[in-house]
Amino acid sequence: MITTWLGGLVRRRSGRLGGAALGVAIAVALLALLGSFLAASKATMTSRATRTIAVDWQVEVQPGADPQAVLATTAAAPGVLRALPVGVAHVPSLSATAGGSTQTTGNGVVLGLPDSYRAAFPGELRTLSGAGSGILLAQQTAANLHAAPGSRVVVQRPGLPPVTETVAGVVDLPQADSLFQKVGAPPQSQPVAPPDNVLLLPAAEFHRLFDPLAAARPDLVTTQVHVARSHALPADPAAAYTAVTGAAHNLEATLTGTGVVGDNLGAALDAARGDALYAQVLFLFLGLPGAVLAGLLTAAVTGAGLTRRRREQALMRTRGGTDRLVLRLAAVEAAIVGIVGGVVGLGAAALIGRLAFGSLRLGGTGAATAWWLGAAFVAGLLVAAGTVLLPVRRDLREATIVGTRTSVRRHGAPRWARYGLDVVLVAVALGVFWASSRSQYTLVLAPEGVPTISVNYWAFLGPACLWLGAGLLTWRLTDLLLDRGRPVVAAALRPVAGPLSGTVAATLSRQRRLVARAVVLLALAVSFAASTATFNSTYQQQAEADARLTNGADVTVTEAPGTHAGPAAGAALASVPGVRRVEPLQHRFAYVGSDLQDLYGVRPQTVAGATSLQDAYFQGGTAAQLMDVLARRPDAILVSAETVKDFQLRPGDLLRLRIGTTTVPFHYAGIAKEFPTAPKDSFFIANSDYVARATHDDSVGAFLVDTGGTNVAAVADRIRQTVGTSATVTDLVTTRAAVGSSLTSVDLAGLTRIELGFALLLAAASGGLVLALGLTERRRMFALAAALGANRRQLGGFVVGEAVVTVGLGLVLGAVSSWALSTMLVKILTGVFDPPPAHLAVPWAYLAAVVAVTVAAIAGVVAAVVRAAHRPAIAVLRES
Amino acid sequence: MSVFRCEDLSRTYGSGRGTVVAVHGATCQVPPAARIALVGPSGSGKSTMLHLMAGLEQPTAGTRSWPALGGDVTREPWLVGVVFQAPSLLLPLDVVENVELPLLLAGTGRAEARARAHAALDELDLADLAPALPEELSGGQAQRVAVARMLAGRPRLILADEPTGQLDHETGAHVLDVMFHTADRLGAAVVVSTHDPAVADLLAERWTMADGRLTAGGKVGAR
Repeated sequence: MITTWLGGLVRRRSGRLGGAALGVAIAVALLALLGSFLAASKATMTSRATRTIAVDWQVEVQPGADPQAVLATTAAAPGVLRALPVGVAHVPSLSATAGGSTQTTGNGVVLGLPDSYRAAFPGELRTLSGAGSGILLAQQTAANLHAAPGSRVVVQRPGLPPVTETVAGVVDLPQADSLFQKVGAPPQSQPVAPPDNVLLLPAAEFHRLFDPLAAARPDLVTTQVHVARSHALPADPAAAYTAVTGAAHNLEATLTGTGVVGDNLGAALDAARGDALYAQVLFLFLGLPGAVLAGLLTAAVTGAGLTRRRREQALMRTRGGTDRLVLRLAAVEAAIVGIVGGVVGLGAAALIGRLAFGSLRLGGTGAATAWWLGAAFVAGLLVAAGTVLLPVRRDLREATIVGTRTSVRRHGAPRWARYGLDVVLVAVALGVFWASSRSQYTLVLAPEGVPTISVNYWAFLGPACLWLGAGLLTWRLTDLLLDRGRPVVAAALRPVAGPLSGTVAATLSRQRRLVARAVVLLALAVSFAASTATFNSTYQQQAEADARLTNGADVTVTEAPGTHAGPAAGAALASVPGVRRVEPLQHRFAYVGSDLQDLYGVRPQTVAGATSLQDAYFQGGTAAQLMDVLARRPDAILVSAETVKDFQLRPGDLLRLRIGTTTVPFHYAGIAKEFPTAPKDSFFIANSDYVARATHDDSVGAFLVDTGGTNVAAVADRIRQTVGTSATVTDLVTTRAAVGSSLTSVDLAGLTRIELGFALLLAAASGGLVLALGLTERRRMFALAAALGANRRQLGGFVVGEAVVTVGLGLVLGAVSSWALSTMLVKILTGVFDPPPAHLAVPWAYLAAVVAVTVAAIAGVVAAVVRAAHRPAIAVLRES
Repeated sequence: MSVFRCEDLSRTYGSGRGTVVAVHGATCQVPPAARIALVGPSGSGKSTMLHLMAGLEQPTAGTRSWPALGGDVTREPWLVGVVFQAPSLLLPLDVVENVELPLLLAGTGRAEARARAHAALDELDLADLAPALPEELSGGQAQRVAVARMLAGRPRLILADEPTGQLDHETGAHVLDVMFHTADRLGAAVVVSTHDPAVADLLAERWTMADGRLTAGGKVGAR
């Protein structure tokens, strides 16, 4: 019996089976690809996090402990590849004499590095000028002391005579924050900023100078053991974090109080696991709706044959078929759909993975990929069971044989509509949106140093409710329009159906549930495609803004410490081919109270011409308004929100800053939250002419170069040749890659490439496939109309009329819900944006492609159905 | 001038060993105002013959024409009214919309079509069912609506395939009565396929089909 049924299904219902299997295949392929992408993303995050760390652990030898014993124990710990001792001494000041004046710093730190340190930890030091070994001065210290290679620096030692060292080179310490951490202290007790004054000595010289100090003042001299560990860690950042912190705790236990571990690697993985959670959240927010949509598509495909299926079942039951037999046959059909769809989906995923990413593993591990493939296949089977088997089971429970023979019924409103579930869902979505718009909202909670991280899963409620609510509301509106608005529909269809428009409107009205289902599916598909694309575009827009904020402009020329270049030096840059505009950006350090902050001097009238100033970077006015304030009132200053709070500033308040040796009065005019090249937290923006006049120093820290966005890398190369070693040249292309790889959170390129492709496919399938199956199920109606005298044009009126209603309502309602969903997604996922977006970026080209592909798919279906309707009517009637 | 005529008309389905010859070399003509009963056992080709006469099937051999109707009814299908054996109402349309549909397809204005539809329903005592949906009708009611729809088109050739098969005797007699009465009024020819001898007796002429061959009434089909 089952074999006979199967044969009949394959021969007679191949379209329905194929359509359902296609829906399952889309869901399986999407889940398999997204899952593999997620696994690969996590592995990449772990790998990136470990790569960014120069020194994995800093083990601080505790007072009274033997440094050699701590070194030996640490070196012998499992997973430790290299361990080197580093001396740390705290000194009251450093000083240097340059150009007849002597500069003296505040407290400083002197490090003693073994000869092999640089080779063992290559990321810790970066030579800016002079030699790479010997006596080295940190960049900011060199700037503070006006020192350069060859300068002589005096080092004060409490209770001992000062010593003088000759500087061999100036270095940058890219990881100064972790290098000068307070080992063992919780994050909130860590220094706000690394020391400004740092001198690096060879280990032998360090011991010569500070061993006597260590004997007299052991509190000022300590030893750290810097460690490079094996980076063979679990792919998941959370698991890697657990492994590394566990090992650090184990070492501390082994050291029995003689050493405390500063776990830089654990801290990096701590941040990465937060990013991994964001990746997971993005997967859920952006990927899951696609899979759900594919499931709905499958349900719609199987649902399109529901009437026929019910009749077949009714016939079988009247001929003695038991419920059990009917269920078994449905189970077999579900199994066929699930297995075929699953295999096709996995094949498609493998093909797409290979074509788009080189392999299905997408850089992840084999085990993780296999897990996701298996999970996707099982999900496909569940979709098939849910869409094929469940409706049959429900029918058997609820329906009578006579009832199953009807297809066009006078329906009351469904229960959810009577209770206004759609309105409730939209209201809940708006409530969640309101809650997440408040400033305290955080989606991913990953407190530094705390082992557990969590996601605010309540936030999912917003988009989920909006998506469901919009779907149901679309259903209600379509139902309402086709029922109560029949005259309107008839009038709208007159151009395509002519005098038959009333009849076409009547058929649509009586089958409005079928039509509403197609409209809902299309609207959800359009909403999914458009919101994903808009989210992606906004993300790209902000990633670009982040890169611009970091680099400052297309090309940025930063003067080396100690050099003096006035604004006129920009003329040489302006003459480089490809340069459109050069804008000087003054950089100073200024004290507000005892707090040292960066001060950027700008030419307010012209600065926006070379860099991007978004309104979102400022508070208290738009970018243009605040630049106008700086222009009109040269002593105006923009400060950070933190400074406003710390000093209780109100607009117009006097603010005295110490710049070098000069105290300069400013008036507070607004808040700057972000500024190109500026650090994230505390900085000032002022009028450069005013700063130059007040300090009698017009030197420029950097030049922002606008190339018009073209040939950025080539222009940067030309500028490098022009400026030589006197300045550092950075360009947007390189910075963009660096910012992207340091991951604002997750590199969305892979995710969106998968998603946008599938979204396009789902939109086309939702529009085309569902309409095609719906129309195919009604071919008997078209055949009867043809038998009653309908010509091709008139039959076309029926088909085109339905297509117009489906496409029109689907696209319009889909566009509205996608706008709402995009706004909500961007707000809820605001944590992945840096800086937060001021407005959505709408990918018009992609949206046009979605509309074009959907309309093309539906036009193809309409043409095929009209052509098929031209077959002899009696042949169709006989078949059906 | 006959309403329909055919010569050596055949209709074959399938090919090779699975070939089925539904109508084989039929030659006949239907005069204006003719009353013909097409009788024969199930599977003898009666329905196919009616479909060929209605222009709904393409013959695989032979010629056919509708001389009194302008030659080719496929261009003016409303000149031939057909009542199908199987349920033939459009499910998404209510009864009155079903009845007016052929008129609208023929280019009749909506108001006139609606009026003629109501008139046809009145004639068959179906006025109360005008707003009903086909799935709310019994089989017999649906068949009467199909007859009303056919009559509303004012055809010149009426082809009815077992029109009373699903009706009780009394209702069937009423439907036939209305159909013949309307045909008389329109001067239309009527061909009714039926198993029912009582129905066949109501018609003036009797054609018989057996194994796809038209053997009586018209000229003998077999050669």
